[in-house]
Amino acid sequence: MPKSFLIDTTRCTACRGCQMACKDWHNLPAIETKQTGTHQNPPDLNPCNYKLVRFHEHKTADGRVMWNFFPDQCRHCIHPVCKDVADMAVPGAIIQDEATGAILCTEKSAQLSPEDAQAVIEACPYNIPRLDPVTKMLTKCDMCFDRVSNGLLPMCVKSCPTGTMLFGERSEILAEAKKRLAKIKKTFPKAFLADQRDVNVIFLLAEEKEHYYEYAAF
Amino acid sequence: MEQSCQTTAETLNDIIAWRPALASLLTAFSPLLTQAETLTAELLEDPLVAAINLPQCEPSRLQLGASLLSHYTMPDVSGALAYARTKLWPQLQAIPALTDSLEPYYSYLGQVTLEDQHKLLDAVLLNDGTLLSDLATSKNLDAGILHFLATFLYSSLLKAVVLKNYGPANLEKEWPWETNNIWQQGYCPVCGSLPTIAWLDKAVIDERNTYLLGGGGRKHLHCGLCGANWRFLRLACPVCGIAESKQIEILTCDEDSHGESLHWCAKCNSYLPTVDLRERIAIPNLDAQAFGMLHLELIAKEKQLKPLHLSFWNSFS
Repeated sequence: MPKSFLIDTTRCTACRGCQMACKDWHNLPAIETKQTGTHQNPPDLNPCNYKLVRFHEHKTADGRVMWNFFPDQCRHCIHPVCKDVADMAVPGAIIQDEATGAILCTEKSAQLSPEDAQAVIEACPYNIPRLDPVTKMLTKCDMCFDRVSNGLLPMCVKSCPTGTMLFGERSEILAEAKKRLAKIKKTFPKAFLADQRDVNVIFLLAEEKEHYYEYAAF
Repeated sequence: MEQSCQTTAETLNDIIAWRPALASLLTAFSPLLTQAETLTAELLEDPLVAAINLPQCEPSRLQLGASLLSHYTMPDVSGALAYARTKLWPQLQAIPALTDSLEPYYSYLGQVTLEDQHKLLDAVLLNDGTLLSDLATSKNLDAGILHFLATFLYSSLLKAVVLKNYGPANLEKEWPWETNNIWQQGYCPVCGSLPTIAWLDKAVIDERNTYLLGGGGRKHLHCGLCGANWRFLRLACPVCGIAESKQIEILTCDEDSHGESLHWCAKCNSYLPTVDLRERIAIPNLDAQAFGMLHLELIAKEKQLKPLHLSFWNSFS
């Protein structure tokens, strides 16, 4: 049974501790960025940010402003399209670890031609992989594979102070997700678990996906 | 989140993956510990075990520090002991140091008189094999081996009986003596034994606080003999019972500690293996986890510290 994340966005305060912890653990350098009129910073995932808290605001019918936060990362799909596409060009460029369910970009991904790498990026329904212009490798969240293989929590989960993120056996995470959904629905009737059957990173969203991010769910 | 505990085998396999140096030792005892775990699960369904009624939890007695079995006389459990002996025997015989000497113990443990049962149980509860000297001599047995075997048999039985009477409880649920912290001693509220391992609990969602996760890290002690858990002051020594600053020192092995450390008392030099579950994805089997921290116990031995609870893996000289 693979491992899964539950990301309960109703508890997220956008502190971005997960984003920083991820950078810290993977030893990713700071990058130059600029203010784009939102707290979402950097503006998008990139080879130096495998995790990004996305911000989205909208007005409800009764005139209230809803400010939604979405800690975006690879969903570690159960049937990863990125792997299928990469395998057609360079087998082993993207692999799926059986024990954890992690989808990992390997050094072989540097052998993908620019066109093939772009095809992999475009195949991802969640707009996750990015091409590192220096190493030519595909980059994305690796589920902190080194930590998880040693029985430790992924850094983003460990650093989360609000309980937004949980990590564990898929069956236990699904059970907890359903429990939390039932409770959240009392406040947010439209709440749902995004693509829970297809992915190992299950987002609990309080509203329709377009109120979070274009690629938040299928 | 309700998390299931790992089995003994899963816990030992994880530890072996992290510390291959311990593989030969952990693998040698893994079948015995695994079988003991299976035996406890089987005994839980046994009508004989179901018929054993341990004393009710009386807060007034517990607050005074009287463990539940301190004035309790165990009924005749010779049938359960004989069954436990049969189930564990293949694994016990597979231990090279015991293979040639076990035969007389098999017949003796198959039909233990009630009087002898009480002597064996006393020696197990007090963790003192010398109490069995007279009994062992009269039966032409070795007191040390008899104590070792009796500990395994009684431990499987006690774990089932305690769970049946006071459980069910996983690590995230409270035992009756944890309600309102009525038990504040360093020894087991059920059998009075000293703990084999301590654990720091995981962070939990506090429904009263919408925005923050409870920190976790509360200290609990675990009895390797009867399987009970209880909360204890984080900075106090279970033996001295005193919580003073700088009394508890912490010994860890390396950066990659997986939450494992030894907490030792600077006053009495006794130590207790401790695992911080906030560092772990899975909840380990605590008995297997205690065994898997042998590398830290070796360092403790070098520092001339003494284990709080003598077990077969830390009784080396």
